[in-house]
Amino acid sequence: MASESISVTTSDDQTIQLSRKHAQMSQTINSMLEDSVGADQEAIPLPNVSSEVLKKVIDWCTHHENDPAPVEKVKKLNKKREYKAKNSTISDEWDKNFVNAELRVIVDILLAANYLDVKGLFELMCKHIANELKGKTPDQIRERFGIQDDLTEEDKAAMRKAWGATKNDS
Amino acid sequence: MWSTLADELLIRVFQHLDWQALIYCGNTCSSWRTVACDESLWYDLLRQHPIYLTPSELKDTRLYRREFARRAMGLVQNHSHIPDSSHLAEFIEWLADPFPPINQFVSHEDLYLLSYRFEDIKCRFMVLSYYDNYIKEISKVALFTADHQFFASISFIGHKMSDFPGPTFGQRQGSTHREGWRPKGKTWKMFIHFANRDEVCALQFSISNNREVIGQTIMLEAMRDYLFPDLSFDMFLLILLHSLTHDSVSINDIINFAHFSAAKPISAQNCYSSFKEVPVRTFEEAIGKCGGDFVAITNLLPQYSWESLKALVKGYNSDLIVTRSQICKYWTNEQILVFQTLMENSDLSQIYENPLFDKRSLKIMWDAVEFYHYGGPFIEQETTEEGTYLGQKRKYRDMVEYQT
Repeated sequence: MASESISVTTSDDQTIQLSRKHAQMSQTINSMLEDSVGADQEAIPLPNVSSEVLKKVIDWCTHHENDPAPVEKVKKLNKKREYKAKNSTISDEWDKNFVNAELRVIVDILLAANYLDVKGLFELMCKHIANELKGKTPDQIRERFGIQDDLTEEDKAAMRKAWGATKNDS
Repeated sequence: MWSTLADELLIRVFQHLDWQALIYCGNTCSSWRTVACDESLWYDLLRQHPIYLTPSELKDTRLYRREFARRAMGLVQNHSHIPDSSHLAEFIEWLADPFPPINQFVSHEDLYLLSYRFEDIKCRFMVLSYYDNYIKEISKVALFTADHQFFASISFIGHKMSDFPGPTFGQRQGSTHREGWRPKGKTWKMFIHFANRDEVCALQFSISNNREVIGQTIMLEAMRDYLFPDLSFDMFLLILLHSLTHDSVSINDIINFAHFSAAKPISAQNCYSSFKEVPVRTFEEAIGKCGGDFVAITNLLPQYSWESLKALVKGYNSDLIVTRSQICKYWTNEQILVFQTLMENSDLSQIYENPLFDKRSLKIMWDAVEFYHYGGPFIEQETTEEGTYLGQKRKYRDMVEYQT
């Protein structure tokens, strides 16, 4: 019978135990587990995830362990032929607290969720980052996200022309 | 860190943005600008916000972003600006694509009326208006024959009074009588404008689940109250078909209607009878001449259906993008109507389990389904999960392959 806990090794050489249920919420780990059926149960290496971030991921998985399996919602067939905008509202209070972290941590979790293929967590991070971007001017975005303005005046002029010009101007 | 985030991740974030935030993100740095210019993001926005692209503009997908932003920016920069009739015209031209407009005018109440040729006798048209910053589709329907022009609109239940254009729309010309738009429970009101007679009539009929009853009611109303000798049942049928077509009517409803009226049955199979498979050798010769460009191929082989060509071109070049306009170019209006009718009605099983459809043509239909819903090929990891689009696709594709 399969063990109830799984060992993983993080990028900072920490070995962390997580339950099989939580591990299976990650498609990446799940695939590795399926590939290693019958083999010696060694710790699964996760070279792209630090222990700090993995603990965050496990926290999220613990809270959402009883959620229904994710369904293909985004491109679901729509009877009325209306294309629905993605809903970027985070409704779960726990999730709201969860994403209340430094942007550095958020992007680490995003990368980890992508690498581990935890769909719900990945979508949550995308929504949160999108919400952070909304309502901000380019200057405010640069300041908030620590982005260097590497656009030249020519770039900006070209953009104004492409995105803001009238037909007569262009 | 942020400016070096992988593009595919950034796109997933940007998918949650509205157009304005997307523009601002694109003005942040060069790498974000590249991602923010991704056509798929703008195409999605365009689908969410049907903002005013004319059919000619739609032909060039590179214009999505620019046109969307230009026009949307115009609305935002000037808050007092509201869409005017020119916006409306562009908007409904976009909606109506690929039906070539044959008649259009703006009424004195700023209703925009537009008709479209549909094969040789039929037409549809839309009635729209705009309030505040929104363009609203009030109602739609119509028909057109070689001999007469009829314009009709049907007010749908559940609309607020403020959604309707006002008390004078149904007024008969030269008459003091006015037909108001008063939604009364489950009542529809149909206005028919005989364009070549400068005459308008208004018919009222009740909603019923039995569509034959609706048809009979309309006809009797018309004959009793208006005595239009040339307003045959077929004419009313066409009106009704067109209205219902846009309100989730099934192909079986259409066929029942056709049988009921003793009109020529409308067979979905007939609609697709023009499908022709392209011989592989012919295709290979053509592709050798033009290098795999879809438009060039279709120009070289105009005698074959676009579905068949596209299936082959996709095999040749999996990155192929075929635009909606390109699809429309190679579909007959009737094909589009029947297909849209089915797609708007329900899930895919309605198509796949409908005995009217040739099973062998269904594989081709997948492409059309994907274009219909996603504006392009749906490329994602395979799944057999029931209830999902791909799950259904897998299920029915297997069924088709088995039967063929």
